[in-house]
Amino acid sequence: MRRLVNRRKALVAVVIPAAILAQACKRKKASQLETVEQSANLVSAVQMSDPAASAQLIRGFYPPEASAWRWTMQNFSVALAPPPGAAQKGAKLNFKFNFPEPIFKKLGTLTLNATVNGLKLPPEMYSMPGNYTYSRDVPASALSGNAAAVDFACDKVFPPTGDDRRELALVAVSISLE
Amino acid sequence: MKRAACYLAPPLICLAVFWRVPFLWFRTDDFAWLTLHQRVHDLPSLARALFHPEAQGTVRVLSDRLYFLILSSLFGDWAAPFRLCSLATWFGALTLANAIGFRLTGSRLAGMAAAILWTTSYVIVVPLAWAAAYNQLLCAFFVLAALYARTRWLDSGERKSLAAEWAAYVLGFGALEITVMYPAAALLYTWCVARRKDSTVFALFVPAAIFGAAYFLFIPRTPSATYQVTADARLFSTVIEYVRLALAPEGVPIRKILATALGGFFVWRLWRRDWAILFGAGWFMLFLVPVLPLPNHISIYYLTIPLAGLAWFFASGLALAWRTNRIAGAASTMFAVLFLAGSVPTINADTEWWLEHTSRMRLLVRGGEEMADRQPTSALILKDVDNELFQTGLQDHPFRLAGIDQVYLAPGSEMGIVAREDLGGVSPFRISTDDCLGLLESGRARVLEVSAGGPLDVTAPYHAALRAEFAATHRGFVDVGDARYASDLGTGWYEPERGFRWMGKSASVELAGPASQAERLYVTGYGGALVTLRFRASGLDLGSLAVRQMNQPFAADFSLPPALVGRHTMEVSIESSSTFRPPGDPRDLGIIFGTFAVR
Repeated sequence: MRRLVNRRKALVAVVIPAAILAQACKRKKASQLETVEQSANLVSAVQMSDPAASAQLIRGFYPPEASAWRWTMQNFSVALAPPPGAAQKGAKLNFKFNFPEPIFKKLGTLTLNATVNGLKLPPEMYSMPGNYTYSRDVPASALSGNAAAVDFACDKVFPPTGDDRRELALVAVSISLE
Repeated sequence: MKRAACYLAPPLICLAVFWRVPFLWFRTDDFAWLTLHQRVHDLPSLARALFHPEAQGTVRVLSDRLYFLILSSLFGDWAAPFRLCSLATWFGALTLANAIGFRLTGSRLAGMAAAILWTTSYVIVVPLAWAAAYNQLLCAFFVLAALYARTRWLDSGERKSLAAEWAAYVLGFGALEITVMYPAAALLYTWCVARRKDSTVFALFVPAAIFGAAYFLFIPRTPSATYQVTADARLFSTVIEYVRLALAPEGVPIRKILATALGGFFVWRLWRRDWAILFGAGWFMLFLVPVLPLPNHISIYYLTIPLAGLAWFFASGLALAWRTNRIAGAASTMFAVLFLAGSVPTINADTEWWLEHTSRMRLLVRGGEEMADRQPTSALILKDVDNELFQTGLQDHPFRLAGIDQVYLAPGSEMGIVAREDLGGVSPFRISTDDCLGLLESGRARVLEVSAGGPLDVTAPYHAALRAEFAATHRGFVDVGDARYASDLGTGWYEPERGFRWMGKSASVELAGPASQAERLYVTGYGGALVTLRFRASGLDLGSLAVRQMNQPFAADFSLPPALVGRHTMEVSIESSSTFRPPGDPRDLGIIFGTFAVR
């Protein structure tokens, strides 16, 4: 009987501290979440290397590679803040990108179209691979609000191949309204 | 001292080779099991959580259900206790394999070598790294414990050893279904190694037969191409494939050398009527049998338990070679070194992969948990999820750990994601831009950016970006009662009320100009007051509308002046002939509006 009681005591002595330890071990997690607070203030220039600004990449961009650039899909969109005074004098849209040689070899020449808040800008054709800046003046009438949606569209796209189910178009580096 | 060193060496080498394992987090199926305790509220739900068939009709009460229920209830989603439990179980299995290896070979060093060879196989990565594969470790422990007890029973005839064998064997059914093969393995040991006619071994087949019958007769299975049972000529090719995988990882050019050496040794020992050599090879084959009819689901970790047989077989060769002469011993040791040289770099690369991927998932889920702690939310929008992160477990609903049921990929970002169709594919993660904006406008969703480093709460800027996109793509239409069109509203509007808005004396909205002269302005509203409304577009008079019926909807349309055709934007202003102030309401109210459209 005494042996049984001792065993029970031993069990209690082990189980209760273990349970307390277990609860204690549900450790307080260190904060890992950063918050980007810029609800009313989108930025005018989005670098693909800037994680905070990437929230303005609305669609058509794949996750960043080498923390510096992103593949785009055939159609891609970004929201930019018009620079100060744009509602009166307009602004210039600049899109820095690379037209990669493998894409050029597969697709040949490629035409890039852009619209700002639904206003079509003149397209541009690229007949060689390389680094480019698509640059267009945007009239003030298209930049009246505090944010501008900029939509790009390529006339061709590198289709998904094998295990890579992505469609690929351009390598985006930065987009800005200046 | 030598004995203790022999038993300590395999776990220590295991820790050295698998040093990343204690730091791994969870992935895929783990998340489904981690939320199991959330479904337990009372005794019936506990019984269901423990015994209801899940995941291809399995009921692994000990290795899946209790393992996750107990550890997740005590430690939540802290992975370290799961890892320590896995390692402790594995060390137990290694110790038993070591002891059985000693009895098979008569050499402590050979027993130790068997355990070392087993634990340095790349096959063991998944069971040690993945909590959902704990069943392999626990089953290995139980069947080895049962076999070790059998060796004691055959040596000593002590009934407690026989009882221990039965206890471990029966518990094995709670770990993994392949325990049904243990009686055959026990019979093989009794006949080939112990050379005994022990009738107690036949009784072991009874629980296996009952379990097998119950499994096939009473447990429903979901039809699945992956788990389709097929007994045809592919059985042979599946065996070959598993043997290839057991010898060395893919791409390591030592398989043929090892296969030739081990095959030659096997034939030679059989030629010399050394029937004990059948045991290791037989163990390997017996525990493979249950997975051979699954040619569409060849999984390396299914080799965990069979590989113990190969390790004993290998160790028997080492022991015999060293007993023969030093040259044979050195040659056999060279084969063991070749095995390690093929396996250890793969273990290093694989555990690195596990650490990287599970760490990303941990950061993501922690971000979601923290977001939910700060501000309860019913939906989560994930931005910049790549295919690898998605496949680390998003389809297994890890955010249920944070109480978040609705998880979507940012609209359009599902392109390039490869999802398991048997888990519903990518469709449940799709959301349209309009619906996404609706969730954000109502405060029911938060946005988490996950591409670089730690997670970022980008709800505010992404919300603003979507508003801009929405405005740009809905330029010919404004619903003043819908918060998503707020950026198109000028001055003069009060807060929205149940899908409409009051205006004051005057108000304005911004719309796209007409594309052609045929397009008109259409307005709808509600007769909250009897007033006359005058409409202008960019300062040009459009006409007026007299609202003549109280509490009735109204609609009107106006032609638009040619000067406005092709304009990117135009401001439509409305002026009411009068306003009124209801009792107790400080607002001067003009009229209620619904929509404005140019078409």
